[in-house]
Amino acid sequence: MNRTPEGSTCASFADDLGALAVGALTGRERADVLSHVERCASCAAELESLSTSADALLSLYPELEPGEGFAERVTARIEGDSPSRRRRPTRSLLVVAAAVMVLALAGGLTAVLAGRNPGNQGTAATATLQSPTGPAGKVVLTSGHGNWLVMMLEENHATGTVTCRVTLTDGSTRTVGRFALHGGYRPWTVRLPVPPSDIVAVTVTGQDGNVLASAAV
Amino acid sequence: MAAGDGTAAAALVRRREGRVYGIALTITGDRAAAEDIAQETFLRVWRHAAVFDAHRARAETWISTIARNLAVDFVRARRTTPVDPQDGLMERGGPSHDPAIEDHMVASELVDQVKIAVAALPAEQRRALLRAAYYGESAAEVATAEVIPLGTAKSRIRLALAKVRDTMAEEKGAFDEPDA
Repeated sequence: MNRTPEGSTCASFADDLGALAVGALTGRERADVLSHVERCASCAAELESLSTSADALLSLYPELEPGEGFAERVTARIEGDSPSRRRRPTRSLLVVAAAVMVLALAGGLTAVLAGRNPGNQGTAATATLQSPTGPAGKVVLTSGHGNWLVMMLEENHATGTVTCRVTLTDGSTRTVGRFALHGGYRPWTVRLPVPPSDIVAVTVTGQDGNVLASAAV
Repeated sequence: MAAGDGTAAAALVRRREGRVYGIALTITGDRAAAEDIAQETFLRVWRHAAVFDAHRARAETWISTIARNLAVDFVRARRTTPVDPQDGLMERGGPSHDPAIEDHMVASELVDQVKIAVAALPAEQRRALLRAAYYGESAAEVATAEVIPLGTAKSRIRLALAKVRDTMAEEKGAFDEPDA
């Protein structure tokens, strides 16, 4: 039985292995179990075995027809995704894509694309996240059917779980969510507890509380 | 699959689109999101095909896992604001609100070893496993929805997975035995 530096044993991780195999662990908990598995051959073997069962469960999902022309749309995206296009320019496209996705979810897409002042029906603000070393991503705020924030954070600016806070017009701050950075460059969305018009800044902090990036809205 | 081969890409998409879209729609319950996730899945498959190791996983499993992870990321991001898990399950037709899904898997043709193994589970273990493995809920969400301690939720998931493994092994052994 292996013992970690913290004194935990294989027995204390036994049930976690099943949850890990089906992707049901998140954040610190997942990291702790993975850290143990890396050092414990017997738990690594059990995880491998349980993961085989978890993989088999994928066959239970139904096969459903996507919309007409799906294959053509995917093929067009693949053909337009040459390696030379995939680096910095594509990141910008991903930011736009993420923003569009969230705006569509929030119902403000039509108004924003049309450039109209949507008044109470939907507003949007976009700002660049700045880290101590330069631009670190984008943040988009929108309202309409709910208030939403979407963020694209370049993950080489941080690892692990980060916290997103907003600063309000009255100077107070609110935590709106936490998310884990897994590598790559992906969108993160959260429903805002206040309208975007009440927000003057967005801040991302690491687990040690240091500010990783911020944006004035 | 050779990177850059548009014909191969089209063939791949047509062969796998049903399962990939099915995974995305089952987990998200949102057709627009499911289409976006399915597209992104194939884009990632195409980009990373060169590093796929066929000795470690079947291609179908690999592609399905990408789709599932993207869909789970989507619903977890959407759930960041605390919500009543029951509401979420109602939106997505989860196991406690849509017995037809369990019926689909369990009561229909039980010819597949996985379906047989899942059907053989005790009900509380089957619910915990399906919530986590099929609908992408975290262990904490399973605990909340089932009104059980987190440790119990993890234990049920682990026991269920182990039983699925053992039942599948027995089924395989039974099929492998020569006729008397």
